[in-house]
Amino acid sequence: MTELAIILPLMLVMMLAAVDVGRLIYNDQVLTDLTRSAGNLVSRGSTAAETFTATFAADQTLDIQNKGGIIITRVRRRNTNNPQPWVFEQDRSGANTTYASKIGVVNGPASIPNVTSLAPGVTIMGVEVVNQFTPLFPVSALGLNFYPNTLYASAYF
Amino acid sequence: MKGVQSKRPVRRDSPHNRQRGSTLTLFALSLVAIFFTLGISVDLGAAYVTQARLSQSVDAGVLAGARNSAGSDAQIKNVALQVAQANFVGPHPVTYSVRVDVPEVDTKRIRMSAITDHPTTFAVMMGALKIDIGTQAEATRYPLDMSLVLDLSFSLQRNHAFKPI
Repeated sequence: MTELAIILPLMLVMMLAAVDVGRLIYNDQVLTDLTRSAGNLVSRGSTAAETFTATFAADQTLDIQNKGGIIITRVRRRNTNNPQPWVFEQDRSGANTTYASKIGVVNGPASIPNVTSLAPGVTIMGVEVVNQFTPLFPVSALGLNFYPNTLYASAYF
Repeated sequence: MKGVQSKRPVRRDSPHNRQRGSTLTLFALSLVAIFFTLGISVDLGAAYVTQARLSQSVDAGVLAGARNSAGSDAQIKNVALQVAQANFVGPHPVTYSVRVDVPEVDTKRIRMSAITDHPTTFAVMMGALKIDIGTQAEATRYPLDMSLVLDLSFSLQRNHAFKPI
């Protein structure tokens, strides 16, 4: 009985944490899928507004519209003589209006993994989706805050 | 043996007593099997995740290649490669191969494959140091008869996408 009393709090924390870790992985997976769908749409000619509407409609579980945001970035080479990836346009939608794009800001250099130069006429669409993650059982009260507050996914098309 | 056993007290010779300790041995033996199975599941799971990501990256690559199919084959290959590499950032080196061919008149088909090794964490114990992962994708751009482009933002002009007529 004593042993159970000792081990019970630890087991409870582990079990409750397992639930939230599962939710974290699931949410991350859904976020990645939505990001890729949005990237696919926008690269096939949908406007940013259409892509936002479609993505928010497809989002059944995460409520990105009210808990996160979508950023669509169009990247081309800086100019005829300079092949540096450069941000030409950026659109965003969703409640989170402060999250800074990891790609860059309009009229600034674009940071895309493994891409350092772009050929003339080439456009790469970057889609970033962020969403707030709220654990069901916050263990932060115990000093064990290992969940990220914000989930992030990006796709380039 | 029978004679020796008969000299022992009956209680110590009961079947229950003779089996004492065997559970531990069985557990120790099965533990090896359990660890192997768990190790394989973890490694295979991780390898499948890597494969899914790699597959998504080549998907995006061929689509980007098809979208930019106005350029030369070398340019299409380059764009496809760039976009695929942008979507797959991992610690393992990936070998990409891109092919562009013309299955019909004015039609461009972009095929891309990617191969990588996924280093194992647990299966190392069984001598499997890595799991080979391969994936491929294909996109076809059909001919466009006519397109009307209004360059209102002057972005096409600025990027020299079209030469003046």
